Amino acid sequence: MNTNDELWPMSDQQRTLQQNAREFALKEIKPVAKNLDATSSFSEEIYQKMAAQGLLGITIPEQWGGVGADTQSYALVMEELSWGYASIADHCGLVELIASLLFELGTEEQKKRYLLPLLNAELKCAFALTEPDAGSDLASLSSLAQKVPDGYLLNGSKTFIHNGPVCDFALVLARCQTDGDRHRSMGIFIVDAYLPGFSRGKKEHKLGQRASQLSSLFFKDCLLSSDCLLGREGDGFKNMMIVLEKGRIAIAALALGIARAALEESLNCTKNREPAAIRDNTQTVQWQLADMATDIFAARAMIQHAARLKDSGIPATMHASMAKLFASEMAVKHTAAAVQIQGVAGYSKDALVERLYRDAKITQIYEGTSEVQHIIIARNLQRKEMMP
Amino acid sequence: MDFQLNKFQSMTKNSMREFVRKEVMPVAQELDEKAEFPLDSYRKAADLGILDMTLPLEMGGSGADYLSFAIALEEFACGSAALANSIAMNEMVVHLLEIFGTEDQQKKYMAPLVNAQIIGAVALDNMDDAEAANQPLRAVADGNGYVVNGSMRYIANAPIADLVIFFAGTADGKILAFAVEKNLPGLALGKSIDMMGQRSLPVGGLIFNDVRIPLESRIGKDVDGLIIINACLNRMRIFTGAVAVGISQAAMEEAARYSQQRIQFKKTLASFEAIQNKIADMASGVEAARLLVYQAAALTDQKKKSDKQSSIAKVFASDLAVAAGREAVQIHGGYGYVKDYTVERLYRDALFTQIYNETNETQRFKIARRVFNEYK
Repeated sequence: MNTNDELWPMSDQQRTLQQNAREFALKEIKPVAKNLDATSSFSEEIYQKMAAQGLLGITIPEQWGGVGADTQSYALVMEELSWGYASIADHCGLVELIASLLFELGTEEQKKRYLLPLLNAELKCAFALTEPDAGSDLASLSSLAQKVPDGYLLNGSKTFIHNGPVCDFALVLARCQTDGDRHRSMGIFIVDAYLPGFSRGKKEHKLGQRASQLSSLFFKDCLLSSDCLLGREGDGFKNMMIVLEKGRIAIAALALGIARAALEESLNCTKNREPAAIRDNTQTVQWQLADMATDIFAARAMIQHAARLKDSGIPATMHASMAKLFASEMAVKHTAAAVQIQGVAGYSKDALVERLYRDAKITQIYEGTSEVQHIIIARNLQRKEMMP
Repeated sequence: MDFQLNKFQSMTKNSMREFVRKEVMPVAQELDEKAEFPLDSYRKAADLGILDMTLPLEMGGSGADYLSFAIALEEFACGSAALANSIAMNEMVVHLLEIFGTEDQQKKYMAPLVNAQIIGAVALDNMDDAEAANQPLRAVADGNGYVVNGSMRYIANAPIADLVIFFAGTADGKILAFAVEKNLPGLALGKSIDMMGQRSLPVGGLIFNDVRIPLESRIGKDVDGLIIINACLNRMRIFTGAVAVGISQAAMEEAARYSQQRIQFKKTLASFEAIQNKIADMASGVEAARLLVYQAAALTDQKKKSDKQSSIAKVFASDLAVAAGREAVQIHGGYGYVKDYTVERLYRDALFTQIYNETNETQRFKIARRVFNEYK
């Protein structure tokens, strides 16, 4: 399917990356996606291939093992990978966020020890923000990194942590002091999974994106050396927020990839449908296809716009939120329509659209729920006098 | 116009509600995981009297109307939409035998059907136009009976059914209805569907390969088969509507409870206007859908034309169920996406109500046709 090649001027690098990701999705992801979903597993082989094919660390400079491309390229890659299978794209996104934090905030030593091996797929990472009682209200988190003579003593628990069951290290957002401004009292810590006091919960059984393995992480008197602190103590929350902008653009692109796969399946099914099931060219289906295509186009334009802002160094918070809100809502809506177009066959586990419908829903929840995006957009309009 | 349930209906609603909350809800997740028909719960439901509820007193039932059954079914769907569908399918077989069955058929099958010793299914295709020529099963007269060929897909209860009612077209443009035991030579099960949701509802195909069917297996011998089909479709829309209302009610209850427990930003979710709006929309939808289902059932009980109302009830209730499931997951946030929470299942279960027993597209087509006839 010809997507957006002629829609705007793309750099050679953007075009090449998009093409690579598309080929990777077609050859490496699509053939195994159904099985990964059924078995709730993430294949080590794919992870290694992603690294080898230059699909990890898209915006990280090459000297640190990344690709050295811009946010627009990253969004294009996410869309293509997700078109293959959202869970694989989600993995690319996780590595990108961790790598961005390590690159932006890490010392030379931290980069050598974690960033290089991460982008070479020698290490697996996790991003530990959410807690049982701190979801959308992240600032209320209670994991505590208490200052001790040799470093920090970490206690607390994190929930729904992507890669929790398999990670070698995690970036953990924790409070450094219990009093004071709740936004300015946190730090980000690099926590090795082999440390005493580090443990993992059971693997979560999820509705969709089942190849993204989730579990809780527990820290009990986990002794961290001083060089485990990433960035400055007290800047943890602020630093997390910086990468969330990139994260939201990425999840919008991931939702877009799901919707595109749904449109493609719907078109295939109306083409190949056996004559007994008549609904091929009825207007109801035409309208659904047209609405899907319109929303997909709009989402891609919004995503690329937000990415361009980011690449130009202009605050992209509101535009990233709008793109994420729009893309995730339309992905849920149109995957439902795609099931409906195929009828009972679409509701069967044999149908790709069955998985797409399950995969889409989490895009409205993670990386800031739709409700949080509404709040962010409204706040930008009302307080910062932004206009779309 | 009296919107009160009568004594029997409110008693039924309460007893079913109590049963479902005690016996069905605790095992619903497990049933979903195993994707097996819950024979145990089904038998207990039979003991409670839901399977023979609409059967006349003189035939051993409770003589209740279909409205009462719809009310009871909604309660079952609140716990397990899959189980509710199996029950509704069986009720339809009981009803068809009561109205169109011969005395022999009634004697032979009625008691085992309502006692859950055997299970029934009705094989009806999802079709826009149920003309004889379009029937996927074909019957040819042959000596003292018929030979039937053809195949059908996506029949609820088919994989576990002992007794199947089906329809077949003939070369001279008639539609005949039959009630046969599934173990007839030449009658085989088609593929069973591994479904996204309602996973403990067995759905599968039936394949007829030169199946010889004796004359006495016919039902409604003196009636146009199309009339029986239309009666079935009307009932299916109503019970699908009732199932969808049950799913929506469950989603609303889960969302309302959770949003009062969950604290974010030092407040319960329930104290946020955006969440209140979602709950209010769910509640408004549930009330409206329930009244539409009641109306369609009441019209059916009064033997009035109800196909438009039943289509409207099915479309409205199923669209609501999908939206309610989606918003209930949304309110639960990350918790709603994992299988430990009921709303995860409701999200999957709900989507089926838009699709099966004639898709919503077909319903809309029929509603519009009816409206165009009314306003020329």
